[in-house]
Amino acid sequence: MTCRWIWAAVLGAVAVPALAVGMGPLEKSGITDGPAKGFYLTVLNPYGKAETFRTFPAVIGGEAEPYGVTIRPARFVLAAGRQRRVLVVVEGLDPGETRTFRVCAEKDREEGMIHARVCSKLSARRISAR
Amino acid sequence: MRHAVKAGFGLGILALAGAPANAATVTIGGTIVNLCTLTPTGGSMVVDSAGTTMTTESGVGALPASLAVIATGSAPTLTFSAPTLTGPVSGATTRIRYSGAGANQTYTSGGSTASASLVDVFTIHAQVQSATGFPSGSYAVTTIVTCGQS
Repeated sequence: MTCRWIWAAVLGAVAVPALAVGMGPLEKSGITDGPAKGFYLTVLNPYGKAETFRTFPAVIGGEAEPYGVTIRPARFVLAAGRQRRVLVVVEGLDPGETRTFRVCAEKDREEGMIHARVCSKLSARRISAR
Repeated sequence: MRHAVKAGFGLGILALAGAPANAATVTIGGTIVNLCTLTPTGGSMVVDSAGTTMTTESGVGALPASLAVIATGSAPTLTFSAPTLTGPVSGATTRIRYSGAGANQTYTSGGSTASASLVDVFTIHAQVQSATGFPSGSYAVTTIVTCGQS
């Protein structure tokens, strides 16, 4: 019974606004034998109404844009309760190079005191040349 | 000889009945994807009676912001950026404090990091102090909260 009340409280707190953003996985790595590597991430709009989201790459621990990373699409509209995959492509990997960076998703136009952002840490490694 | 053949058949049938000829392995799999969802709710600041502090802590209409976290997989880390103030005042000190299930940050004007539970609700208070008071206008304290894996 207590557990039911806790869940009701949590869901009540979550269901109020329409500013939610979700993304996963929060961490992903991959190996490639060529100069490019692709990753798929899933962005969610779990509550409220349709919203426009934007995704952008950033260096670890900062806001600067990492070299050679593109996201398609970088801006899109998601209906309430829907999710979609975005493709992240890393290009220009040298043999033996590992490139680690973040891809973040947030509401395109934030309002209020808190700007919510979810970031995935991605790591692409190109195998060394023989 | 006929008895031996009969006995042989009998053993064969028993062997067939006893052997797990149709045994199968049933596997029930599952995949968990590390995922994080943040749902913020804005707060409201009120000026105190002295006119030098604006806060979400006290006063009629004062309301802290909240941030609901729902995650799967590993418990996520929340990073709070240094709060920024927009409004018609200069030289004010802007600070926030927050608390969640496993985190408790006292008032700070800098950035901070907190561990969140898979299901968590953070309460976030803001405080702006200005020795010269606050000219009339709209004010907003903003912090960027990032959910990720540490």
